[in-house]
Amino acid sequence: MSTTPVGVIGEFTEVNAAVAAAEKLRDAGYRSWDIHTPYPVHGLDKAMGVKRSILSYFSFAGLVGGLSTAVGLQYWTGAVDYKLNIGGKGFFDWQFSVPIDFELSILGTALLTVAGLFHLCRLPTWYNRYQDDESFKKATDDTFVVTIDSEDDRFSADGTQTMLRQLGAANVHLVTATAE
Amino acid sequence: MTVVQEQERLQASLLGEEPVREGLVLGNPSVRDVTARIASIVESKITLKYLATLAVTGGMAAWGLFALYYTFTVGIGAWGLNNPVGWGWDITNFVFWIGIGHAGTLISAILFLFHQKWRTAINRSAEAMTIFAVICALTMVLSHTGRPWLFYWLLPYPNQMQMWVNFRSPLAWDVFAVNTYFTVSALFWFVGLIPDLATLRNYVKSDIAKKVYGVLSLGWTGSTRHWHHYEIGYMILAGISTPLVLSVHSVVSFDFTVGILPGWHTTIFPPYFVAGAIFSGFAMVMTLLIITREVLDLKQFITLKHFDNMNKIILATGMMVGYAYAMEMFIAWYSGSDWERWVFINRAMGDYAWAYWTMVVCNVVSPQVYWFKKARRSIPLMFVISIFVNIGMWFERFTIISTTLHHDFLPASWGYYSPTWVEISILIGTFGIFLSLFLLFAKFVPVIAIAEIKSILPGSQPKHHHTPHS
Amino acid sequence: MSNVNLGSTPIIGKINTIGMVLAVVGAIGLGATFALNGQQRFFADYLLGFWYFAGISVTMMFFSALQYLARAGWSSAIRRIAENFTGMVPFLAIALIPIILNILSHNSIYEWSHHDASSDVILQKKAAYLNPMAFAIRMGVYVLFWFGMYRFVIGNSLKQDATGTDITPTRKNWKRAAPWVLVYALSITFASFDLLMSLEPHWFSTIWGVYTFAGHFVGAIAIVTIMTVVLYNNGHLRQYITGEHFHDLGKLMFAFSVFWAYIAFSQYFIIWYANLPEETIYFANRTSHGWEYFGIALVVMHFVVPFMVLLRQDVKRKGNVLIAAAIIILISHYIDLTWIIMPAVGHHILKTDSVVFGWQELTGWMFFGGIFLLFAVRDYKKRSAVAFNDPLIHEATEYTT
Repeated sequence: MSTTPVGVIGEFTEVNAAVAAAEKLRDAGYRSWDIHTPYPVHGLDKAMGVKRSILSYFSFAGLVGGLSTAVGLQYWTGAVDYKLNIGGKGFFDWQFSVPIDFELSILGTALLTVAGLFHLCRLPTWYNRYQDDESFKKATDDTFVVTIDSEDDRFSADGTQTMLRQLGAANVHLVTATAE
Repeated sequence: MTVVQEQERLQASLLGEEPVREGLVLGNPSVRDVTARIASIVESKITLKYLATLAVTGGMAAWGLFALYYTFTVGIGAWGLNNPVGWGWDITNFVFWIGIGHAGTLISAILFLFHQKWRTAINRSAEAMTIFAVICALTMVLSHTGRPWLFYWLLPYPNQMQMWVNFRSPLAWDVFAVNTYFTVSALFWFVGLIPDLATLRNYVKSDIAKKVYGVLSLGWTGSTRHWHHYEIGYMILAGISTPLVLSVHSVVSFDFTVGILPGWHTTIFPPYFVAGAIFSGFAMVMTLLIITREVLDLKQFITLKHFDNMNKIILATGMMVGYAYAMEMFIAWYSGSDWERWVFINRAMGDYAWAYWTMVVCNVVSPQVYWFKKARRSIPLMFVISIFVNIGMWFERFTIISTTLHHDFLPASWGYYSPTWVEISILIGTFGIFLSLFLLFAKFVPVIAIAEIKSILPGSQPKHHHTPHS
Repeated sequence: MSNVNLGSTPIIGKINTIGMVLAVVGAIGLGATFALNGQQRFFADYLLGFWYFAGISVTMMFFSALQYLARAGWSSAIRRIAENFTGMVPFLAIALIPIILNILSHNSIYEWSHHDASSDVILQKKAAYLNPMAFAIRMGVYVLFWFGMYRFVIGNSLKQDATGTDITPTRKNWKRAAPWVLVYALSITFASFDLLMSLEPHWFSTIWGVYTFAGHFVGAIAIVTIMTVVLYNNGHLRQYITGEHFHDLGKLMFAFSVFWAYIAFSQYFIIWYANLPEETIYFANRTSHGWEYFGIALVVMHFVVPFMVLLRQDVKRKGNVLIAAAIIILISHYIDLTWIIMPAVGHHILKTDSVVFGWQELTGWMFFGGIFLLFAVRDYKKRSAVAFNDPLIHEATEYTT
């Protein structure tokens, strides 16, 4: 039985301190780390150096998919497979296709946006390496919790903890996993 | 300062000079207080009063479901519909409930896009209301088909009859619009809930509750990397919900307008229906929130300022429907068309004049009290007005449907429509379904968006400044 | 926070020159149209230019009133830019006099004002509304309403500049903006019935007021956007305007181009689908004989292009993109009014189905555009370019999201 470090945790209770710490950690070159916050903090992503989200490409794909499905469906069923003169309207007119074109575009966008969001955030993941840590649980309440993973190239159990303390984090400690 | 003191100060300030900006959350709670206050509702014991209320609304729902069962076994003839009135309370209820839902989407999406921060206290319950209202609307529209077990005939799927859905029919558009609306509203609501469910997961004490909220929160940790995607995703969902909400009631209005019947075929219907939907939806949010706020003691978060703003929106949208009534009347005269003119005279002075004037009094006259700030902040008064508006908006749809149908182009077939006990029971039943679902929601789901409220507390955001790039 | 008078800056000087050139060239052009093409073509072009800028000027007042109504903090930095484009409003009566005199002469571009309207059964039924005297009286009422709104809403905003920390004028606007918004809604609706819809005297549409409002509103926002970006790029108002203002103006332009498209489509679609002869004639005339290209241009420029350009978040913070989108919107608003007015005049008055469009149609627009800019220059010389004493101004300057 041996314990291996999985990461270091530190707590911030003041938002400006958390942002300042994020900038320092980013500039120090850390990569595999995160700050868990109870609500979205404006500008913290930038301070951490998070790259622009690609989520909108998912949404756009959903829009295109939904729209082409709607046009294709209405055109093929009305003007190809099952031609029927109804009310003197054309078999397919852009005018009457608009409501369904619109609805399916929205539906496609919404479905792929949510799917993309889940994919990018890896939801659902019903496990987290820090989940039993008491500090970590505070992140959904009122604390900005910094976690730095042991895989990070710059990680060292002591050095990283010292740095976090210098940045003003409280309750800095090492999280370990027990292997059989 | 305690909440009570602050309320008193606010009340006092109404008499003298008001502050330039009122705070949105009273009592200056900390971030932790917010978690505790809202999560404690979920943790609190189920009271007898709650169960009794649920039993009443559940009973209403059961009675409505029985009436539906009766309809399905006996046939649509159980309703008061006959020639020439083929649409009655069924479609009235459908349009009414779909409209109720619109306020939820408006609050969550449009007010979000316009940075109206006061929305955060009420968006969660308004969104929940949207979903429950759409469920009621779906119940109505499915039951009016007469054979709801064949609902899948409405969907385009390859079948042995070798037929396709007629996409030139506004009723086919309705199927797509309402189902899209339900799906997107539900997704939007759930995405908004994820962080709060995670908060509950870490807050509740019972193991079962921990597991349930744990599973539902999908493992959300509050990671900034995730918030980054989340905020963009939420913005996109808000962005597409806005045109969606406009389109849904516009498509519902197409059910009437694309035909040629005087009174139904008029170009202002799409925006007029949307304004009416928001109007009725806000009234329903108001009715529910006044009660929720009292019962769950949420005066700290849902303040008179919120009600003031909502009453302003009720006044504004009430004026919009008033504008539409006036346009319909004026243009009916201006058109010079005898049919148009006659239908509108009949609407105001014919057999259904009582319904028309109920509508005008409830929708246009009653909200006029909101020109006065005191009225906008009087809880008993706004409760009464919100009920008036609900009644008025129901009658609006009833007036539109019945006045045009009951006197058609052939005077020999003119008639008068009144509902049977079955239709009345179904309406009561939809209220039962709606209220029961809302009660369950208010107990088991955070009624206020915890993460969003936290993000607007003073001092919760860092200070920084943007400059434009040009 | 102090008075920012930009009256003597080079950029206002430049706008002054542009305004002068437009007004003079437009006036000469209008005169030439009168001489070469007759009074009816002249009045069609006059109406086009007049209503383009009168509608936008009146709507600028609505924009300002709306900010008070919503107690918007963010917009207090740019509200004055809209207010400085309302200078025309008190003088609209003068511009309306030629139109009214023309109608009283029974030979105007309005078919219902002609003597032979008495033999038209449908026009007889509407004669209580569509007659020259009633028209003149209604115009008088609108002008009075607009003047009242100008004195009250814009007046109080200007008074706030002088009163400093005493915010009584702003409070007055907070309290009383709503009735003026109501006045605006009704007056702009009926004015659009009278000036535009009655050009097609048999035709009617209940959504008409909303449709024309949507066009004026997005046009007004486009002009405010251009001015905001231009002033910012010339180094003015830097302590007031943040990236968020660019973003929000972009959002408003985006939202109301989509709103316009929604209203325009609703009107078109309902009439197209029901296909009743007395209604369809409006679109039948406008989707044939070359007018269909104007319709297609509207779909593309009033909806598709602004939608595509302004869809992305980051783009709404780029001044040049905003200006490009705003110019496209302003051109399409012009096409919109042309598409409303010229086919009606062509069909009913000039008795031709083909496209009536040439250099003449630019003259009225240039003339009134020049006047519009000259009034703005006068206002920039007279007063602050920003509502520096607005009690919510700090929300605008510290504005982040």
